[in-house]
Amino acid sequence: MPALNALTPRTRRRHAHHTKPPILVSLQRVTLRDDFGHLAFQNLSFRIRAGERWQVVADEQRTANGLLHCIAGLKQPAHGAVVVRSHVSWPLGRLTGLSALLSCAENVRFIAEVYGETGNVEHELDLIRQLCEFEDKFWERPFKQLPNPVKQRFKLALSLAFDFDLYLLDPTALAPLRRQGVWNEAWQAILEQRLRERAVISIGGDRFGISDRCTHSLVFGQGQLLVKGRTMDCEEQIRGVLQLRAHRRKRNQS
Amino acid sequence: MIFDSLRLQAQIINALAYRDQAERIRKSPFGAVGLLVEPLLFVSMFLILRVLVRIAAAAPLMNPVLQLASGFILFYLFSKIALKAISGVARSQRFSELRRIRPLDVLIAGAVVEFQIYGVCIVLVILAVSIYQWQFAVAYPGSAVAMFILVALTSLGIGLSALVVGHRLPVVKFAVNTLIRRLLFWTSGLFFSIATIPDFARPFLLWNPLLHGIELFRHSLVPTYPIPGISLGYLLIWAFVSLGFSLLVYGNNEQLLVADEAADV
Repeated sequence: MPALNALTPRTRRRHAHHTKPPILVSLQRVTLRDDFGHLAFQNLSFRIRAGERWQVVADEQRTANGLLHCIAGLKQPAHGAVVVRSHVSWPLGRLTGLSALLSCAENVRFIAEVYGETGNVEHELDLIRQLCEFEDKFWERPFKQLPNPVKQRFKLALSLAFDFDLYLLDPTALAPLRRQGVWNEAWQAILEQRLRERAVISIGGDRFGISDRCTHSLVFGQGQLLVKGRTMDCEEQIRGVLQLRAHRRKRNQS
Repeated sequence: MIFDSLRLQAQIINALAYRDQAERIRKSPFGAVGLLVEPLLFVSMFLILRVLVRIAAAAPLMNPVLQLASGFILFYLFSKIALKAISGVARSQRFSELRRIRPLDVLIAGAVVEFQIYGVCIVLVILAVSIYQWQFAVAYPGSAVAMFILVALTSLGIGLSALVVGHRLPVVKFAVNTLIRRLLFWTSGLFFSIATIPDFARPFLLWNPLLHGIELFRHSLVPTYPIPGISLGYLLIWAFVSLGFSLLVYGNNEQLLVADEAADV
């Protein structure tokens, strides 16, 4: 069945008997507040099926970030439930669960044992070394001692080294993939390979062209869901929210 | 499918245990040896005290070093596993974005690391005593290992139960952390043998499962060590009932524990 190609082997085995694309994540009447108690969104219910690509367009950044963090498990909803039935990534390039005391190699081994499908860690290690392109001295040094750009590249490479059913994407985290406005080919190839046929939720604008490929949209205004569905059906609301955002940005700058 | 999940969970626990151990080694100024220093230092300190306050009249029931070391190491194994379990959900929050890792995995991994550290400590003490006496100091190694495992399981069961019950009734968490720990310290036979306790006082101490674990462990080292009133059945019941109960209540309350802990953070 074509929908099953959009799943990692482990999830595919679990959903082998399904006729429709399986539900990967479902949010049931979820209300979320940010760290300051402000409402991020309210009473949100929606489901993500295998292979679907969603973009989140919101007038407030906390709404989009909150949704991503809620699905990632970084934030717990004030009300409602997030039911995860698949292999969901952490927000790409934003992994905070790494040990500051351990080296990059040890951190990779840890994540590979938790997320690797084959149990063969060497493959992931090679891929990350190849992507990061940093010197060997960085590889064995405690993570906390690495310079920030190296840390960012490492986190991003680590995110791309593993296969997930659903990728959570904040395109601003992809900045290290571009140098002086040009995409790094190796990174772009692995990103394309990872995202091919997989479900994606993207919260950023169109700066990196990810949102262009999203077939579904969730549009929020003042913490309320305005519309959800196929992107072509939501264009008017998306335009409205983007205009509002641009207007606010201009006002703040002035 | 179930074997697949079990294999994955074992792999995750192994990874967490390795990471926990590696982090501790990095934090310790003496590296891996530093992990063994704390428990062995405690044993040495009390050994010195015992030498200074020698009970000259009583004939020793077993080698005093082994007697004291087995008591202390098993007590600290219990204490560390149970207390770590109580704060386990808070510690697991650092892995919240790694959705495959559940708080229970972090708790079990912590217990595995403590088991390894205190296991190595007791082996070192046994080897040291064996070399000193020029005679292997363990009569029934299999039985000794089984007692060590049973004490670890009981600790995990009690710690997990205290975690869930303590979440509903915070006074329970406080009691386990302070009162019960101290009560167990004085009633678990760390400094005495149950055979030296008068008959009328014995039943008051025998409710304590840790005392049964420690005394049975000593008995497996020296078969002539007397253990009146000590029962393997009692320890087995405590180990499996506490673990079964704790897993049952934990399974039903996991979401609640995680949600409340995240809200506190």
